[in-house]
Amino acid sequence: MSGALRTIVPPAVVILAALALWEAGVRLWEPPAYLVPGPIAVASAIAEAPERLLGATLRTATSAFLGFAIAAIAGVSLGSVLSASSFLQRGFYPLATLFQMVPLVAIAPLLVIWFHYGLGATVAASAIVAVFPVLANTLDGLRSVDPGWRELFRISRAGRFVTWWKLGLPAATPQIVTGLRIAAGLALIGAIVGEFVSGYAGDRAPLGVVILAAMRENRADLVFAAIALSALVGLILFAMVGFGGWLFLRRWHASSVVAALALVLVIPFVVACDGGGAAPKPGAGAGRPTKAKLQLNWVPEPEFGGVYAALANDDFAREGIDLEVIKGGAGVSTPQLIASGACDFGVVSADQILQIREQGGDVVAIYAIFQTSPVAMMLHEANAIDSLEALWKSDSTVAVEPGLPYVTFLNKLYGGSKLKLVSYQGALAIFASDPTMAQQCFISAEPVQMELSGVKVKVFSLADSGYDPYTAVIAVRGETLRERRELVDGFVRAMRRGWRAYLDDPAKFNPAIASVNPAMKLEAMNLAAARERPLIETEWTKSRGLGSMDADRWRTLAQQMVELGSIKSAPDPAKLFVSVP
Amino acid sequence: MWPDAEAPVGAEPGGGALGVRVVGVSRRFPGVEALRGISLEVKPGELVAVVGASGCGKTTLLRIIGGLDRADEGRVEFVDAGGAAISPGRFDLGFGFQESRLLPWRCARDNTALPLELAGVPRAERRRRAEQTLSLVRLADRTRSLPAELSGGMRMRVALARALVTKPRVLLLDEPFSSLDEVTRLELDEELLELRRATGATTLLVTHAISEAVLLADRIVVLGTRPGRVREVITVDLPERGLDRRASAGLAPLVSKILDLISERAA
Repeated sequence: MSGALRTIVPPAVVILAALALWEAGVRLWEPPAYLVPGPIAVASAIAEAPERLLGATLRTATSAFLGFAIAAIAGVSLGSVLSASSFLQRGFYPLATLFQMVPLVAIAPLLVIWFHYGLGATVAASAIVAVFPVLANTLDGLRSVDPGWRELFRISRAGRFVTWWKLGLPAATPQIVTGLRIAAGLALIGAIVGEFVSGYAGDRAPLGVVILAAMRENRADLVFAAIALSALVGLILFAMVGFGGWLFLRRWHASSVVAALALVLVIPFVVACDGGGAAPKPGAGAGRPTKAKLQLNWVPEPEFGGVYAALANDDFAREGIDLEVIKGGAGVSTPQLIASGACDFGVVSADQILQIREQGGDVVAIYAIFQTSPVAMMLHEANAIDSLEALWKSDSTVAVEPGLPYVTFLNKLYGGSKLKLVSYQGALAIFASDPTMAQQCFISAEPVQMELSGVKVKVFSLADSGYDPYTAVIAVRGETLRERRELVDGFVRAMRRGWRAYLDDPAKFNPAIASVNPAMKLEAMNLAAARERPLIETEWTKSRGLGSMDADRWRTLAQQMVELGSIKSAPDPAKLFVSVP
Repeated sequence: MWPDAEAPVGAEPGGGALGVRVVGVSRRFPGVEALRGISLEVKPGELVAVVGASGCGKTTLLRIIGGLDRADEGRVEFVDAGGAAISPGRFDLGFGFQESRLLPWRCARDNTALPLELAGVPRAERRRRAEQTLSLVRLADRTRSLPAELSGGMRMRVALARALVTKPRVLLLDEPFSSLDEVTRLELDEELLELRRATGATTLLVTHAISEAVLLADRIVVLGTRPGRVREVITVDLPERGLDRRASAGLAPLVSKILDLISERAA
């Protein structure tokens, strides 16, 4: 059919040309793979793990399709009910508009509590964002039905329902189809954003969680692959709406397939904006004193106590450093920010350094805050499970940050086939509401908060399992190390003095941390500081200095990660960190 | 006054055209007195044209007769051949509007069948009757065409078929052909006459085209403007009908007389 060709060929040509340009650009400028992978790299990322990505795509598609279907039915029904009465319309329309403005990310943790992990919450998230355009367009369409037509039905004494069914609905179909088109894209975005919070991790991960995990692993190619697949889901959903609308409208309304295709092309970009990190720009600055940025990987808490103590005591200033501390949080990918030069110093974990180096990022550790990993599993105290091994062999629901290598390690060690892994985004209310649930924690953070809010918990340390990477590691670019060694050394010296002061009297400095993190109570910070101390100050640091690292432990970690398939080959430990005397 | 809830659903017409009696009907809209004290009588089977300048209230009068608008004063009665006042049933009135008002997603047959469908007439029966009526308006070969596939004249014919499909006893036409070109309009005027011969329905035709009124009508009601009131009722005493009337010697004086009546200022 030449008509079909005419609608397919132009976008196909444009897309192919764009892909070719993209690949050519990647080959010409050779940006690091963790920043911009080429389309061939993206395609091979799909080819590398086809079952995992295909399964994820199917799961996301199911959520998006169900969410869309619910939004379509609810939107048309609500729009119809509202159109029947101007009182209802005036009363409820502003409410519906408000519904549209609810930030999905903010209510997603609640959706998990109401609908539980997995399909329920993602479908709800998808339906919530998609319902409004359907409702609004249905209402508009029904209100703008030609009054002359309405009169025909009045003359024939047709009832309300018959008039709606035989006149209103068909007359409003062009607007309803427009609403459904918008909803199709939104349903997909809603499903993916919902998955960020409520999707299962591990083997049952949907695309949203695959994106999160890939970002944490610094696998930009995998992020793009997941985005491409989600765009494909959007395209199919969109094509279905377009086809349905076309079936109905082709004969009496000029329905524009071209406009539909144009919108299809927009979806991947919208999703990309939603899921992908913005490309950071390299920053440079030299002056007196030297300005430097430290990017945290979490919000200010006692795990960064030494940093704030050093700031309070002017330790950085004494080294000639004017330090700016930037807060982190869920979704902030510190390794990429360091590798790209967006910050001078960044907080990461040791395994992340190995991962980003595998991707060609030149990142080197300079200071390890935690000698023993504070990562642990937190359970309700009443839970019968009595060890990490027992937990991993149970069928409990466990919330973890996707993409952390330790999950694979524990799976390998204990076998975790029955476990239900879900994505942890920092919302403790979900854990608190479910007495059978377990979740990852920092020994010094979440358990303290839970206990202060009256929830009794117990923790199993990850380090006991044998997987014990340095945690809260300060890292820099290799370039910084080579060209600004003075800065690095000064930073480490200031950190040591800061941590010394903090460990000796945390209560003195906690108010400063509390002032930049009002969410955590001072009481919790004091408790946390006491708990983290044995993980920070050990026999090793007493002889070598706070924050210093051991080549043997780096070697062990690298070997463990190779065994897990997280990296391909173990690098020379000497390249991974530096020791500052 | 129409509509009448008591009329049996799907009833066949009680047979025979109805007469229409308008008694002292007045209607005012905010700021405008549309009709003042209109009285007129239409005999069963008669074709009466209502003419007048734009804004004289012709359409309002027709809508009040059809029950689509209410009168502030006065009343409208329908009478049968014996002179007895009756309430028209749901199929007794047929409506034609300036626009065709066809539903674009329905083919000619299903548009025509709409009044039957809404009254609950079974599908096979209403399709048969719709097809029958469409062949009356010479569209037997276009029953499955959608409105967008029909010419303007054809669309008006479908609208006419829809008005006739219930076999109405009174046909109320509001400038039905005003949107058509002259040739098509004359064609449809001729067809209207044929249809009337076939159905025998009393016809009230509102038009702003004096020539159309003169060619078709038995009598012509001339309305004055602001407020609309009956200026004169003229009996068209000419031989023949339709295009054949054009040859008649009495035609030209009649047209100029009506023109004078309409263009006069105050009564």
